[in-house]
Amino acid sequence: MNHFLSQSMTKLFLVLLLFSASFLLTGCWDRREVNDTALVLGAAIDKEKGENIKLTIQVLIPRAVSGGQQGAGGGGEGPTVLVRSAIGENMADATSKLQTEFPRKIFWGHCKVYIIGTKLAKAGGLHKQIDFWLRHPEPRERADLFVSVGKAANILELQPPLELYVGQALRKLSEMHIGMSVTVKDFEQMLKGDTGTALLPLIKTLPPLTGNKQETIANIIGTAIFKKDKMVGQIDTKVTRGLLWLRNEVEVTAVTVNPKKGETISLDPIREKTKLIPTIKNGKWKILAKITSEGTIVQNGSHLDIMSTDITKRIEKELEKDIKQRLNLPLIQVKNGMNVDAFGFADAFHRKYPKEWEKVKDHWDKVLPQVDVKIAIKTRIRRPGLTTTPAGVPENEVEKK
Amino acid sequence: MLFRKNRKRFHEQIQLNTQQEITGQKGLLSSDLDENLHVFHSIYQDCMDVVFRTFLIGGQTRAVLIFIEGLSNLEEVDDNVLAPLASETEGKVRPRELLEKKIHISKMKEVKTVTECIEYISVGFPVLLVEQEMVGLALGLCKWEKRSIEEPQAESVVRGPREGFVEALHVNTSLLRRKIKSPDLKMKSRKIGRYTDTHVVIAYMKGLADQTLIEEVENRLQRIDIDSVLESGYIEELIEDNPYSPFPQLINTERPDVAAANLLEGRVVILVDGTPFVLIAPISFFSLLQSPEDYYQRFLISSAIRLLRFVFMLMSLLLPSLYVAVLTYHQEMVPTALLISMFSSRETVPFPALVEALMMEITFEALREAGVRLPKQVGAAVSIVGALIVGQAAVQAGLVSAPMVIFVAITGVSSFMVPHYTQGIALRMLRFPIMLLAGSLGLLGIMLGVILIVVHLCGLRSFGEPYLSPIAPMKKNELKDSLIRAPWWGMNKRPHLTGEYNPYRQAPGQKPNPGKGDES
Repeated sequence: MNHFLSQSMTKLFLVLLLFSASFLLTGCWDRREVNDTALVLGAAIDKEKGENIKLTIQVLIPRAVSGGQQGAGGGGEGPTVLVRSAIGENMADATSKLQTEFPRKIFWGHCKVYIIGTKLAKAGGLHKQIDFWLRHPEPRERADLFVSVGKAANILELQPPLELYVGQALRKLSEMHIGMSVTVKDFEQMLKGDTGTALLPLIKTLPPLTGNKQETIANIIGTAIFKKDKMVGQIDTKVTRGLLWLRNEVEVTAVTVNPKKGETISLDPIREKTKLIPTIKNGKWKILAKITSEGTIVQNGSHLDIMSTDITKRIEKELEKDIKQRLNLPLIQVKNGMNVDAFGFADAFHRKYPKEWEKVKDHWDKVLPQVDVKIAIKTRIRRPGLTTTPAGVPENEVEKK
Repeated sequence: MLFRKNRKRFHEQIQLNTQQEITGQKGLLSSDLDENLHVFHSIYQDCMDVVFRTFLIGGQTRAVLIFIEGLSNLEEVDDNVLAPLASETEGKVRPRELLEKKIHISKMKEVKTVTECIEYISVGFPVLLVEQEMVGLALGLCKWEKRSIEEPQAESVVRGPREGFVEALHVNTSLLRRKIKSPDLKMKSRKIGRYTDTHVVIAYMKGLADQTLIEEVENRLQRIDIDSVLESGYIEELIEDNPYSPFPQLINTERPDVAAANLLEGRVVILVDGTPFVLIAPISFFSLLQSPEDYYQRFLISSAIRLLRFVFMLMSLLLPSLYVAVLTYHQEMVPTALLISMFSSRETVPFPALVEALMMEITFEALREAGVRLPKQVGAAVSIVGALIVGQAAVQAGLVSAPMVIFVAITGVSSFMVPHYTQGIALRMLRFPIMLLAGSLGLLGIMLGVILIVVHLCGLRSFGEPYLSPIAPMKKNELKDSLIRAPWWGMNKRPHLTGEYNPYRQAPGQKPNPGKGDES
C-alpha cells in the first residue's frame, strides 16, 4: 500500500513537472495579443513605376472607436482608421516595408476588402498579387475584390458617414448584389475557368454632400471586365444588371414599364431564374437563355385595374419586352463589342458538348461572335400588392380592360 | 520512505490503544454494586456530565442509575423509574420482580458487560445497576436536542417536497421509511469511528439493488478504520473508486425524496449519524446534472432545462479559455465588428489576456468563497464591494476589459447551474488548467484539455459502474433519463443497475389517451 502510494506520488510529480515544462517548451511562438496587432481593415494596390506596386493599408485605431461608457469621454472625434502606404516589388515586399512604419504587427485576418487601381488592372499580371492572398495564412479567401476608377489608395482615405470605415461600406454594398460581388476565391476561379474571363465590381468615389471632401463613400458604378487577368473594358450599372440577369445572379431590381405615355407600373421581382441552353446544329452554335421571373407589383401609376387577368397578361408582355431590352444591352456591349464571354456560355457548351468544346477551346474568341443568342422570357405577376384599384383614382375612371 | 515510517508508528499506537480498552472495559458486570461503581467511576473519571444516582429500591436494595445529562429524558426517568422503584414496599420482595412489575417502558435491554453499559450510556440510555445483580438494565429513555425538519438549504426546489434530512439518524431513517413503506427497504447498521462510534446505515431495496453492489459497499465500509466520522464526507473519501479524480463518485443529498428515488432505481444510500447529508452510490456523470425537480415538472420543460444545464456546464468549463485562446491566437475567428469592440476595450489593459482571465477568475472564486464563509450580515457587504470593485472600478481603471468581466460573470452564473455543488466545484477547478493550456497552445490546448478530461471520465468508475454510463457504454434505454427526461409513461424500464431481474417498474401503455379507459 505505502509502496504504491509513494510510487504514485512520484508519478504525479513527474507528470506535473512535464506539464509545467510544456509551457516553457512551446514558447507560444504564434502568440499574438490583440494589443500588439495592427488590424488591417482594407487594402489597396496601385501601379507604380516599373514593375513595382504601391500597397496602401487601412489600420484600425482602437482608441478612437472605444464604444460604451468610456468612449463618451475620449473617442468619437477624429478618424478611426490610419492609412499608410509603401512601394514594393509585390505584396509581401510592400507589407514588410509597411511593417517598419507600425509599432504593432500587421494582421491581415480581418481585411475583407481589397481594391485594385484601374492602372494596375489594365496593366495586367494580377495573378502575381492574388497569390499572396491565397498563400499567406492570414488573409481571407473570401475578402471582396473591387476595381476603382482612378487611384485605389484614395478610396481608403474616405470617411464614410454611416459606417466605421470604407471597407465595411463597400462590403455591405456588395452584399446587396446591385453589381457583381466577387471574392478573391471567385476571382481566382474565374481566371482559371474555361475562358479566363473575370468580372470585378467597379467603384468610384461618390460626390460628397457636405463641405468635407473626405466624408463620403465609394459606390459600385459598374463592372470591370477582365480577360486573362487584364482589364479590357467596363460597363455601367444598367448593363451590369442585364449581365447579372443572364448570369443568374440578379437579386433586387424593380422593373418599370409604361403601358401608356406618362403612366408607369413597377414590378418587384421575387424569383428569377435563368437557364442557358446550348445547342449545336449543323455546326451552328446557339444559346437559348430561358428566363422566368415572378414578382409583386409595388407601384401602379396608371389607370389600369391590375386585378383583371387580361390586364396582367398585357403588363406581363410589356415586362418581357422591357427585360429583353435590358438583356440585349450586355450582349451588344460585351459579347459583340469586347468579344468577351462574360455570361458563362463557354461553361454551358463545355458541359453539354464536351467533345465539340475540346476542338474550339483554343480559339473560342473566334467562335464567340458567331454564337447566336436567343432570349425567351416568361414573366408572372404573382401578387398585385396590398391595394386592388390604383390609388386615388375614382372607380369609374379605372380601366377594366 | 516518509510514508512508511509514519505508518509503522501508527500501527504501534493502535495496539496500545486497544490494549487499554480491553483491560478496562471488556469485563462482565460483577454482583457487587460497589465494585461496579468503582469501575464506572474510574471510566467516567473527570466526566462532569455523567450522573450517578444512587437510591434504594423499595427502601431496601441499593441501586444506581447512570446516565449522561442532556441525553436522557429526565422527566420520564423520574416518573417511570425513580418514583415507582423508590416508593416503600411492604415485606421483602426480590428486586428483580419489582423491576419487572414497576417499570413500564417499551424499550428496555439487559446488559451484561461493562462495554455494553458504556455503549448504552453514550447514546443516552440510562443504565440501572442493582445490588446483587449480575445484569444491568438499559432503559430506552433517551432524548436529546435536535434540529427540527427544515427545508434543505443547498438543494431547494420550486416544486417538490420541502422536508430535508436532519442530523439525527433515526429521524432520517424514518423519513425514508415514510416514503417507501415496503418491507423490502432494508437498512443495515454498523458503527464506524474508534472514538465517535458513529452509526452508519446502509439502505437499499431488496430485489432492486444488485446483491454484489451491496456486498461491495459493505466490504468497503468494513475496511474503514478511522478514529472519527463527523460527516459523510469522511466515508466518501474512504470508499471512492478513484481518490485522485476531481469528479465525485458518490453524490450527497439532503433530500429524502432524492434518496428514495435513488433507492428505487437500485442504488445504495449510506446514512451517517450526525449529518443531514446522505451518500448515494453508484452514480454516473449524468446523475450529477439531474435535479429532483426534473421529475416533478412536466417532462418537456425538464428536458429543456436539462439541456440548458448541460450547455452551461460546458460553458463554465470552457468559456474563459475560449476567450483567452481566441484573443491570443485566433483573432480571425471573431466577427470583425466584435473584434473591433473587444480590441478597443482591451486597449488600456496592461496584462496579456491569459493573465487578465486568470486574475479575474481567481478573484471571482475568492469572492464566492468569501460569500459562503462569511456571517450572513457581512456577506452582503462583501458581495456589494466585490460587484462594485470588480465589475465597475476595475474596468474604469483600465485594469481589466469589460468583455472579460462579462465572460467571468457568465462563467460564474453557469457554474451554479450544476445542481450538485460538488460537481460544480470539480468543473470550476478544472477550468484553470484548461485556461493555462489555452494561453499556451490556443484552441489546440483547449482540445487537449477536453480530451484529457473525457479520457479520464471514460476510465472512471463509481462502484464498478462506468462514469459516463448511459452514453459510454451506450445503454439505449437509459438515454431517456440522461440529457433529457422522458415522460413517466415512457420510462417503463428500470435502469440496468437493478440487474437482469425485475426490469419493469410500471405497467406498459399508460400514456393518457382519450380512447382508453372508456371500457363500456
